[in-house]
Amino acid sequence: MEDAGNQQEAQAPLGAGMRVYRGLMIGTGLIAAVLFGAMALLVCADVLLRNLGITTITWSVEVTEYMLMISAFLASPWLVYTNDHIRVDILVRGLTGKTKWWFDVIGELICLAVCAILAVQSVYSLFDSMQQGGMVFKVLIFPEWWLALPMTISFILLTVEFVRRLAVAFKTEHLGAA
Amino acid sequence: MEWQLALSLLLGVLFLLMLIGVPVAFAFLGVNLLGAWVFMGGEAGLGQLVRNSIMSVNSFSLTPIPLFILMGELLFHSGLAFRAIASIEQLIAKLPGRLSIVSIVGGTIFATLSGSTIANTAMMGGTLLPEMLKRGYQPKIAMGPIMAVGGIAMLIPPSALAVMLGSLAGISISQLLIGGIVPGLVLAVLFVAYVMIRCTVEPGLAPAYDPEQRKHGWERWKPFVRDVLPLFGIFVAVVGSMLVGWASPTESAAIGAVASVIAMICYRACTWQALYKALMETARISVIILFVLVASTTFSQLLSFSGATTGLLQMIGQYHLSPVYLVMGMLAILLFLGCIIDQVSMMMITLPFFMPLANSAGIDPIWLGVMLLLAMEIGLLTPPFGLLCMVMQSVAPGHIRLTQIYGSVMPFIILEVLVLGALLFLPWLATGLPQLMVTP
Repeated sequence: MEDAGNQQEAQAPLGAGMRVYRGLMIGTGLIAAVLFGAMALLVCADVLLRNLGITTITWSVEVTEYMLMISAFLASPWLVYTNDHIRVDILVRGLTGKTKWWFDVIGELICLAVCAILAVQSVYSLFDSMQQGGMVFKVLIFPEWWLALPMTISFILLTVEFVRRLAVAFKTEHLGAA
Repeated sequence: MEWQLALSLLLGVLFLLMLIGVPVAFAFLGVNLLGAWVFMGGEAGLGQLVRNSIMSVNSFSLTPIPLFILMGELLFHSGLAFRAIASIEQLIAKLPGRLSIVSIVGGTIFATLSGSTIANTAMMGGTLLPEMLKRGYQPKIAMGPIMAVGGIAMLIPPSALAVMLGSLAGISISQLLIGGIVPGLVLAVLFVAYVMIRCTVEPGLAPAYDPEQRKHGWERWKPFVRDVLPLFGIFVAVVGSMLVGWASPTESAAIGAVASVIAMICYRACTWQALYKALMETARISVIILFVLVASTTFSQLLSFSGATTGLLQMIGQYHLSPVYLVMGMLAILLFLGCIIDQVSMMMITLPFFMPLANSAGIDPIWLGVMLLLAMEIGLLTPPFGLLCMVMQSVAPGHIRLTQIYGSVMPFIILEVLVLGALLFLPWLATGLPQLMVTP
């Protein structure tokens, strides 16, 4: 699959800001990767200890669920950055030149609008939850607004990423026209 | 709003967004925003959409998705899978289309160790295809078996997509995983038979004689005993722990992943680089699936909330169709959708309609689940949006055209449709093995 970051790097060396941004994107993927590895170890340890009659890790199921949720949200901007989200490109695959550029830009604009709305709604939901002061009472007890954090961070990063992609698209078009 | 209009609006906007190139997950999110605004009371609906999304993947039953993928990626990036394929190659001799058969047998064995169709196809395509083309195999007999056997990973446990289907459709995940074994093996046998017959009838497709040095006796079997047999321990750990009730299907996936790391250590193939690559690739494939799930969960709820699900179900109910006709209709819809969208989206769009229909008609959920899996597996191969065809294109040499890839997989699609037909009329192919299971 095409890697937007690498493609950009091939064209021109990245500035310090973009290098940090690239690191941030890869970092979100790395967090998901580490969480999946930890998930395997945690569940396996629970099965082993339970079947040996030693103990049961009571919080393992709950923590595993949170790991899954955090990974899904946090690593999504990384996948947009690397162009890895699934696209049904049967119509746009055959397009070239200006028509393709327009389809790409319209697609990115729709994604930007969707992510910006969800980012705003997530922030509202987060503050609502903080004000209400609700708690999650399962095996672990913690403030409910913590659950809204991964989605909020994800959609803010997604919004930033789609703005970056649009900026790159317009810059490329501008250079092409010049 | 009339249910027909609601259904047309939701599906119409979804397909429109997908067709103009919006990534599937964001197409679902876009239509969710529209649907939440229209059907769930404006801004209050948007708030509900956010809460639904947060909880959509907060489920222990979805944990095997990344863990089954991790198993395959660990074996792939550590090189153990390549060693296994090389040793299988030593065993298969004097058969027409030998390397194509090696790809089917090797791919089926790898399917028992990997829950990822993509890893399966990428591994076989990246290793065997260049060798086959170099030895004079025609692309159509070299690529078709590799892609077809990649799909078998979706049926034979461990299977990430089977877990997802079971979780979303409310079907027993362990029984669904076990139910896929027999149809998966039947497919593998049919693929081998097809390659042998085709290469006998049309000898120009594959060289009659492979010029490499062949080993005999123990020298020939030694790599298999050393590199393949111990790996079956991973399959035994996954399926065995489920069957004897030591672990739930979810937990067995974690056992499989840790068993794969133990195998890597035993074979001295465990490097930080291999672990890093396997974990990052697992994150990539898993988050693609999980984020579509996040985005599409509310879509199913909107279909129900808008009255579209009930309206369509009532309309179909008026025809008093027999269970077989109902299942045939469902499979036809999936086969069509498989040509244009991905497997996760297929599940999210169709299951809200299929499962209530199946429950009211008294259809065996395991039988139906295995057939749905097979129909979706066919969708991995059917043009223009066959995911495995695209994976093959990414690993095949540059001179191979996409039309050649489509052509090479066509006979295998026909074989899979035949097996689907057999499952329809011989349900025990899917339900026989699960009935023997000891439920934990």
